[in-house]
Amino acid sequence: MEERLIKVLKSLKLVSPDDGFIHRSRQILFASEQKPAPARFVFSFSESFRLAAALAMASILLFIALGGLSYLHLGNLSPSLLTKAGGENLKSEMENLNFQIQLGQAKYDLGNEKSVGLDIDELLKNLSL
Amino acid sequence: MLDGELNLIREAQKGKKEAFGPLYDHYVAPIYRFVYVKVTDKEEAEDLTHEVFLSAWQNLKGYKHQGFPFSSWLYQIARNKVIDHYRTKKTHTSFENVDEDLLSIVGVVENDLEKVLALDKVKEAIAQLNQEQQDVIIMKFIEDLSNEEIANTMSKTEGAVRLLQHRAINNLKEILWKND
Repeated sequence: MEERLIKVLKSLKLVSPDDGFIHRSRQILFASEQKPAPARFVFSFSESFRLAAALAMASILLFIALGGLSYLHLGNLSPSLLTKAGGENLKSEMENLNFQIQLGQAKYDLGNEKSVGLDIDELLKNLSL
Repeated sequence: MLDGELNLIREAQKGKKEAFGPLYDHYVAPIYRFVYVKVTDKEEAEDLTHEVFLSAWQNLKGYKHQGFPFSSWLYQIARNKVIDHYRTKKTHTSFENVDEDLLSIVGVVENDLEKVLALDKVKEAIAQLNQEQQDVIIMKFIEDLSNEEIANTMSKTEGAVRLLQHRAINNLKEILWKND
């Protein structure tokens, strides 16, 4: 039965369009204009492969680096430790900093006064001459 | 595949209508048959065939040759057009009588009537298959396309196409056997 069926299917090749239809269709077809080529942002296969490989390598290196730090217990390098700094620590740090600035300023002022005094002494000496 | 097909495509892509003419003439009949067997109405088949070539001509600049005949691309467009056609149109042609379109197309004399009746029955049976099985039956057994071309047109592997062919033929036999 299959052979007979395939033979009948092959005979459907007799089906063909009318000449009149072909003529009309051709005329309409060639009266229309083509659309412009679509804009493409295409990565070639090699480019996309290289990009994927670079991203994969970067991920692996990052993973190894983090794993290494963790293994060596170098957790204090982690920026997340900054958040552990309490408010009290920060406050005392700030106070110390201000204090040092004040001492520095006082030292500067004292030094200044000395030099001004010397200048005045010298001026007075000159005047008395 | 048409001789010098690639050159004709390249020229047609530049907008040369005279280069698209031979492509149209070579492929209009197979595409018409493909559509006709699926929609079973002569006028609808003509309209859809025209739409396929209009779409191909208008979008030719976006066509990229991938080592397969130009027909693979045309069949892909035709498949989509037929799917759209069925999406918008829900009614189906009745097969109660002998298909008059088929009679006129084959242009029979009286002693060929048996042949037309057989064709009509087969066409009716094909219409009862699903879209993919219809496609594979038409492309393989009516148009004699290779499995590779069919696989490319249907975006399937050759193995999947062979399986589809096997199922389609079995279903077709079953439908015809039931109707007898």
